[in-house]
Amino acid sequence: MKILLVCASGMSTGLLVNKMRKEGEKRNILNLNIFACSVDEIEKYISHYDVVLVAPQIRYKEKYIYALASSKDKGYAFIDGVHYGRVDGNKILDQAFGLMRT
Amino acid sequence: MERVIQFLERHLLPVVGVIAQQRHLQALRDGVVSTVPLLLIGSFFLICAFPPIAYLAMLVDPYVSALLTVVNATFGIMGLVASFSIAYALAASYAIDSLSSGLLSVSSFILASPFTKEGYIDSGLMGSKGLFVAMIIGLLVVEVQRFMIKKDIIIKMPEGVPLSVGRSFAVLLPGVVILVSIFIINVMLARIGGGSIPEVINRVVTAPLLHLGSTLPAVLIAVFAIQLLWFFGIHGQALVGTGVMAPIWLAFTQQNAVAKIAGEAVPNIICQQFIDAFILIGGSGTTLALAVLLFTTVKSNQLKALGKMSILPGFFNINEPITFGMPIVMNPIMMIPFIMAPLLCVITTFVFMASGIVDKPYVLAPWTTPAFVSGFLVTGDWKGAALQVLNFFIAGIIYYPFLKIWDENKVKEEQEQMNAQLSQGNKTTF
Repeated sequence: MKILLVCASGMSTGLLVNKMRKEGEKRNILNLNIFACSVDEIEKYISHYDVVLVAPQIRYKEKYIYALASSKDKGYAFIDGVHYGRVDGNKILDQAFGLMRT
Repeated sequence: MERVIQFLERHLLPVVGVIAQQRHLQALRDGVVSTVPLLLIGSFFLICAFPPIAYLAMLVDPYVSALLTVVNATFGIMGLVASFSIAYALAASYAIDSLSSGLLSVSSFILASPFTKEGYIDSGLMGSKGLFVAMIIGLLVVEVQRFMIKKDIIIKMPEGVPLSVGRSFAVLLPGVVILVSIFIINVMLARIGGGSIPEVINRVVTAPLLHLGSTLPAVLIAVFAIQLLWFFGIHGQALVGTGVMAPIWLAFTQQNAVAKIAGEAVPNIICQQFIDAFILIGGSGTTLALAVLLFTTVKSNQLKALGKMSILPGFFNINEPITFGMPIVMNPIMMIPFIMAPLLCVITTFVFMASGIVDKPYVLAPWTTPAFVSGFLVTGDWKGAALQVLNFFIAGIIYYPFLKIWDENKVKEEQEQMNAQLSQGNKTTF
């Protein structure tokens, strides 16, 4: 499972990466690969990941991300603001797995 | 209040989205921001050349001019670099061969900038003076190229010719058209005694724009817009700060560095560091003080947890846990201090620098540099750090009463939840 997290500069999603990794360890998920990048770099990385989770503060870029994700056939979703604010690795990991299944 | 919010969300946000995704604005932003790593490296050498401690300054004195060569090669060619990267970014967005567009743009930029009498490239036009020239030329070069490709006015190679060879021929005709046009404009301007392309652009575009950008109301409006967007949960700093204001603020940054090198008085109060170091203390909304208050004074369990989580990122000016976790986003109570605090800090910072009490910034530091360090670093003046402390306390005083209201709300909410759980628990036991 490879998850790409995207925000304005890759800083605040960077906080989330560790939380999600820890959560993954708790659940004994192997091969969990999580990476945070800025929205400007998303084209460089998107091919290497299964799903894309986007921070709520850049939802003004939705059109662009939608077009990119669908052209690469990747699932994407915006992270819920409350989950994002609490840096809730648990809920956001669930969201990523939800995207995998669909 | 709710209606106002709904109205703004329905009518303001789509406009914001369109502006943010506008191709040319995005290319300008990406192109100009791509110079920042160079400016940061240059800043390091700028500090070394002018250390803010007298004893160190005496030690480096013999090496100053050697150290400044690096500053010249970074700050000094900001415009030249941007002429490449702006065209590169715009061409990439059109899926035109971006390398050749970038190179063509550099060539056009140099052609448009008159050489010195001795026949050398005029280094004075390669920095921020050339920035807006680079912006206009960079965009035009790519647009001409795109137009000609669209109308099929390019040299096509027969099949079997390697792709890269074909591409280099495709740029030939547009390149000739662009360079010849600039050449003709140069000659015409010289004939009518109108000076040069950079002079015209500086007079018509740059000077009014920079004059406007250097005023207190302009910064207040920009910061207000940033805060308002954040209230809607949108990254205002990325959109307005980097997206719209960066070329202006970074041009001021460059001017300040160049003045410092030349031994002149640092001219601009407003610049990138003004915002990064003195307004965004803890992130958009000057929230470091709020993070500290959350860490030390609240009673609600939820806010206590938030305080623990947000204080460390806050020192590095990252505050998404607060904006989304408290939340400030869509929270009319917290919106008031969230907008007031940075606006007041703009005013205090402006006043202290305009009156000469605190030195104006000339070094660029990464925006993640912790407060209280960054103030000293960018100004080379210990009073810069003191001003940050002052702004920190001003923000704290503004946030405190609103935080108390929100904290009481949260405590009540938590108690109600507890009671509900208790009564449910009682029901099941009986």
